[in-house]
Amino acid sequence: MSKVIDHAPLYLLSSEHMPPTDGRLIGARFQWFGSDSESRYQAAPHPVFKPDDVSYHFNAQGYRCPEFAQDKIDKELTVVAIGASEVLGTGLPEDQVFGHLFARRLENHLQRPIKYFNLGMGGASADYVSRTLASALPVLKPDIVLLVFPYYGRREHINSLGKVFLFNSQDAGVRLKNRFIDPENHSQIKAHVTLSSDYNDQMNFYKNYLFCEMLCERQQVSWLYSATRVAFFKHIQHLINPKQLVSRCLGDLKSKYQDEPSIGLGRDLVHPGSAPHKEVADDFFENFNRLYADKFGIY
Amino acid sequence: MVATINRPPLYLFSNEHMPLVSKMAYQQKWYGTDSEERYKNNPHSFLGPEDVVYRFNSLGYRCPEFNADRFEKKLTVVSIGASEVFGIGLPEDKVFAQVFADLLAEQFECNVVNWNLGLGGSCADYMSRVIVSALPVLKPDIVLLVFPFYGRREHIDDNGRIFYFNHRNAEYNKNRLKNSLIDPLDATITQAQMALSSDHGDQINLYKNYQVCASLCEKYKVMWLFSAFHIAFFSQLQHLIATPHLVGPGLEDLKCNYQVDPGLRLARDMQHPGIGPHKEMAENLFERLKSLYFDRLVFG
Repeated sequence: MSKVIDHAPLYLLSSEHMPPTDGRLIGARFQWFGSDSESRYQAAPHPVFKPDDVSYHFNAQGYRCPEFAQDKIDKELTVVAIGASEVLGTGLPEDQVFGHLFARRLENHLQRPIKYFNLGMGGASADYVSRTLASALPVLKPDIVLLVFPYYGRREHINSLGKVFLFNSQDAGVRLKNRFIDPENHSQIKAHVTLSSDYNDQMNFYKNYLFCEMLCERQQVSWLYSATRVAFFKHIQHLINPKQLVSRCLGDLKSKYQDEPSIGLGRDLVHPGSAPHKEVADDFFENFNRLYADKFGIY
Repeated sequence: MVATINRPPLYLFSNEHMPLVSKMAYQQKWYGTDSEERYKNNPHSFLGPEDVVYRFNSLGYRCPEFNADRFEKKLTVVSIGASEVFGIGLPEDKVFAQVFADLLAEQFECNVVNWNLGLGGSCADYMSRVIVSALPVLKPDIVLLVFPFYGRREHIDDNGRIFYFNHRNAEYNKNRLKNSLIDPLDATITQAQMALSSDHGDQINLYKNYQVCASLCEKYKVMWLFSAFHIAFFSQLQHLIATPHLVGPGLEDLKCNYQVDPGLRLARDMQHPGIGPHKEMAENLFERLKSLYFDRLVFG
């Protein structure tokens, strides 16, 4: 077997390096990203967000956050959030994404500096969440971890050359396009479709959740988790830790604002907007307060 | 999504029922690679046709029923893994977990129940799936984990049928065309798994399953140890695993110590590890258990 663990460029399961996300994002700055594209905006402009209102700045490892290698300030706390595009904040300015809002609210409340690292990645899966957490804990040494589990039918696959493929069982349309544009991706997707089943999805989802729960408990970090939709946890209710669950989820809250796309949706008119993100940030804060007030001297 | 968790017959991730492996005959003389045909072609030097029997409990595991009464001063041992744990080609009392249980019983003067949850052809996915149920249902005192080849996978289709994938299964690969005619669905699943198979994926999968097992053992406060078919399976994960609980050499590695005596080196199928490696593994596990958990064993 070739040596793949803790090796450049992927730094899989490294306890010294954060794994890079996507090579195209390293140090990049974009005005448009993913589903938040210029062509989509021109076809259906957001009522509030203009082209210059949202930009995406990625650090040297391809995450939408500050560089990791920064000295810790006295009494500073570190918060990381891991998940998919909702966590990354597709369609929103950085300072309106729930993780950022949570960090700022906590900063005001504790009167302590808070450093926030957004480890969201578009299209990511529970596989990505657990893999990233495995490195984030020893490398970034966060005090607080916020996890948002994406759709359970998603998977991550890394081929023998270290190329990462993201699979989403809901994405039937992309599959046909990929057959001609990206045949290698297409064969991976075909294999995933063959192996996709409710059993496998639920097992994989639970295993990743359990892996994350165990790592957080072992590291004794303060942690909370949610999902794009709370229904993802429906079948594993008896297995998950209810105390840490933030049950009002970004995807579910979108429907609350379906008549107000200006605040219900991001600039791409697909992802959750500023209002769901603010509500989720508040929920994360309330849950955090409930569980960890004593630990952090919150009164 | 159809609900699959904690439902019959698989009882996936149930904390009330052990998952059903298979509805096997209560007892049979040959099993898996330990076949009568193979034996006739290449008989073992001392394990004859009557020397190995496979007895399965009502859920398909090669051990007593799970409702064995708990007496005072009884320890329960659960071992989980693939065919090495199952003990293909060996009498039950020569499989390492039973030898280990006998050592425990003798030294600590107690009753020991050994529940063998080994399953031939299985993988780390199976191990983490089973342990999620084994810990709350069986409430073992000691857990022994032996991880098989990291390239194996478990897959369950929408009908609840379980497939085991092993791209190193030489016999399967040799007969791939025949297998695709006999069981086209299995062949399709195998082909899909092969398309996705990679060193990266294998290492991540091994680590994730190991971590689930290790963490659950810690959470349930059981005494636990782990090993592998080859200890080298964990070579890249050294910085991530709880090495005090790792017992080496692996069962396959121990075969090297019996090169001059195939009767001890190999099981009846002339392929799997034999009585010698199993005995040595049991002794190694026993010594490590004592060094890690002596106070607990003595004082309860």
